[in-house]
Amino acid sequence: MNKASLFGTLAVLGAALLGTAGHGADHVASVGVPAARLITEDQYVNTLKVVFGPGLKLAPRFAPIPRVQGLVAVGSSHATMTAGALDQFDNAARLVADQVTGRENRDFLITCRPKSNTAADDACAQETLTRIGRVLFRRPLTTAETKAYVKAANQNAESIHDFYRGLAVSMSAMLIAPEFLYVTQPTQTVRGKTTLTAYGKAARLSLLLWNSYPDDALLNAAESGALNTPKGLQAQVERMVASPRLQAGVRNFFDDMLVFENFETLSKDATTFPTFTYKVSVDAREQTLRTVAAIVRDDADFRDIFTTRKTFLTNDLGSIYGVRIDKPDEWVPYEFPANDPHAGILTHVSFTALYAQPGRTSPTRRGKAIREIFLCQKVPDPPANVDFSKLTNPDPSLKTSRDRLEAHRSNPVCAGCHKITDPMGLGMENFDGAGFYRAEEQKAPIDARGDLEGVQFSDAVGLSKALHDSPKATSCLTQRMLGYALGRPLDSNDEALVKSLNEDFINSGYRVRHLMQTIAINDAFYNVEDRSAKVPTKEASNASSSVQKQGS
Amino acid sequence: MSKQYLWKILGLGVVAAASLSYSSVASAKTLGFVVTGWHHSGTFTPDNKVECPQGLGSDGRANFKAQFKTKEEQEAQIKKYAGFEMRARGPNGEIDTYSPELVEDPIPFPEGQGKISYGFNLDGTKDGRATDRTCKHSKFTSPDGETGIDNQYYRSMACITGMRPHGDADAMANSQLLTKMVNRLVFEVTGVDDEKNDESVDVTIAHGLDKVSQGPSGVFIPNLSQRMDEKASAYIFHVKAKIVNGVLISDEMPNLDIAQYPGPGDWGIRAFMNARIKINLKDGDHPTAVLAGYHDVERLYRYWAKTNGIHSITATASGPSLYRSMHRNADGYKDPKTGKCTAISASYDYQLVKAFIIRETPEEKEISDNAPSSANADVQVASAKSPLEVK
Repeated sequence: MNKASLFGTLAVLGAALLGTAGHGADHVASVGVPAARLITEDQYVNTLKVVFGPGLKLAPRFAPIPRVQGLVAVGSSHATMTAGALDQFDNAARLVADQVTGRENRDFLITCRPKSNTAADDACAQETLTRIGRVLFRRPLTTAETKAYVKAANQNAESIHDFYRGLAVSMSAMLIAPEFLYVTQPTQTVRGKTTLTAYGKAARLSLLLWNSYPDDALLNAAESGALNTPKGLQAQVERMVASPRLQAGVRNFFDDMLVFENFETLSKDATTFPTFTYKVSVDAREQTLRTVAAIVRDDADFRDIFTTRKTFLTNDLGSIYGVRIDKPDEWVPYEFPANDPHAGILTHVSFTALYAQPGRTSPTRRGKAIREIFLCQKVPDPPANVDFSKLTNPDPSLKTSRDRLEAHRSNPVCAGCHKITDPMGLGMENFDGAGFYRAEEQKAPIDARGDLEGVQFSDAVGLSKALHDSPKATSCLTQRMLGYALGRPLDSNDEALVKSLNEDFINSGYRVRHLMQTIAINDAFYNVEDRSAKVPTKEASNASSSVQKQGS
Repeated sequence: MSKQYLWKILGLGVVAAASLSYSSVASAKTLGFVVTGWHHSGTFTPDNKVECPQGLGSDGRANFKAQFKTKEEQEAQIKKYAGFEMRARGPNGEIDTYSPELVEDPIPFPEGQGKISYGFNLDGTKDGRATDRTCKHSKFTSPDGETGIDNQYYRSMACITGMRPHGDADAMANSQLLTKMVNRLVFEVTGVDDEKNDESVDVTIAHGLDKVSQGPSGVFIPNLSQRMDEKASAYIFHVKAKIVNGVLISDEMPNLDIAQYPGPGDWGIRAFMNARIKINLKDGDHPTAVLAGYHDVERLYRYWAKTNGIHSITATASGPSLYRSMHRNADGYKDPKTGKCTAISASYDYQLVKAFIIRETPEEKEISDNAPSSANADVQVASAKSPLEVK
């Protein structure tokens, strides 16, 4: 089969599995059949490192997945496969197969030895491909699949006189198979109720808690049927929550929720911010993830992410925060003093720099991000004919962003949206577009007063405290976590579940691990039903999808 | 009472005062800087016409061709001393750079005529007249109008293409400043009560251990942390200073040794006597500084010969001419027996970036105190006083 025809076949297979062929990111809340989720870059890496060990060199770059209801995890069930996208998977597959079967690694990554390196070996090929295939496909290979992959390995080994090259061909094929690239939802109907099979449960559970495909122990629990019993499920969930791999799941959830993939395209005006480097940008993302992950690891109150003064810094970040780093070549824990303007992730460089223009701040972007990310509210995109002249070519007497935005809001077309973003975003004006603290703008003192949902504050610390105390922020987190877990848009049918989970989350002391654990053992997490008749949630119906188009 | 002994007593006094007045010491600030660039101080114009009206100097190769005039003579010399190309110019084939006293360059050597330079008045005279300890020389005026500045080394190097700002040797030295850890130089200023005016602060000059980073447009990033290399204790120098109108001006350091790897050759010690430093604290995150003092001529030449000098063609310099010029312009440490000066005043312009200077933790210090340090071993040699130094 030539490459073009292989691509065509796989694209069709992928689309068929999805049941969403031709659906773009804007077609969100009507899912006719249980969705299949496309593997993400991190899931790909995490899974292959489980199969082949941490020494594998992997840096895959796959086509971006559209964001739906604020999450890539939800968008992954709406991603379509193009020939170009498949080409990237194909390249990654070949690199992996070459490393695994290469001379340096084969002796410890392939557990059997062929009788001859230059000929086919049916037994060794079968042992290897069966073992690998079980993790990649999240279930044992069928007899037909085993036969087909082993046959391909043998045929290639014979034709090129190389057992390992033959094995690599079949391994590459597995790594671009729809069964690997898409997490489908195999179902079973018991007493009229349709749920995921044990293997389907294992996959969903593992993606939620570890952002990876199931490990051997979880597949064993699926195979034995233990995962279908409350006791067996509880045991697996407890094992997984106790594992250090939970950090991968937690970090991926927050990376997704905080829209951190935008760091990959973040750039700053080198004239305005000459010391903002790529390294700062990379470290800023990591700083926030480490901060949030530590709160979850310590089983602390989730809302502390808005107020904690504890964080982790590198030397490069220290230059932005004006903080000395005692070990300049390491990540070091750091706690900002009580009177410091930095408290919580809103004051991190990750947030202040990401939600700004390349050469200046943007209270509008920041306010919009707070509403959409932390309150699960949709802010409409600016109208196409909006006049930005008062912002981009302002009257020089207007010294601060507040002054310029007030002038801009004099246009009633603009005023409506700015009313819902700027009062929050202006609270962060003490941080410039690269995240540096400032008390003045163009020698005029900065007025960082504002309000969030009627709560008045005087600066970013006050804004963060208001967010910490906002019930909407808590319920948004619950909503995002459930959407992340299910990998599909939430609709009206989920509202009761969200409400119940949120109450439980609050009663637990706002502990994220408890929330994840509760979702993982909840029957509803494994239910599969035809949702085509359901009404989308308010957020979904507002226009739930895609990459954020940000205003000024 | 020797000056060093006096300092020790004063130092004890400072410690005692600190222990009596903890709150005031605790509120004092510490400033840190890392050197990001340096050039010789003096007047350097784009077309050289002000400071080198007679043109720039000639390198060893040009002098070889002038010394051995015919093609036959040149080929015979090259053949006789194969492997040394055009550098074997001594009576017995000695290399010009390494035996400068045995080689006479036939091409006249131009010396710098500029009159403007940053620096210090090192000899204390207004006009550079001869004294018991110094030789007659011309003074410079700084761009700010400060008069009486000494910088005789400028006379010798100003017309050597490679040593001028952004010349090959200069550019290489600046490049190596960023890439070679041995070149990383830090200044720590402690006990700063007022950055504009402070009668007494303490300055520590030492080597750093961490990289300096630049932003996308080449600006050095301020406020990074930089560990002081406290293992290399012989490279650590302390001096008192005062701050006047935002400019830090140090007292005199009897000796200051700066290890440098300024070029493609070996590393060496740029050794100062009576050194002083001035840092313009008003310049924000990227201050400028001036470091000046006397260099023992013989020692400075050896430093030059083993660093830039071995690539004197790249530097467009000829060792014998430079060596003679340095002796001719020497203005300090007069030898009472010969009446000739043995040291030359010099001044360097530094570019700095603000940084947090990190000292060793007690645990790290215990390790470094108990471990033999190769850096210190090097310094034992480097710190040996020149036999020519006048006490």
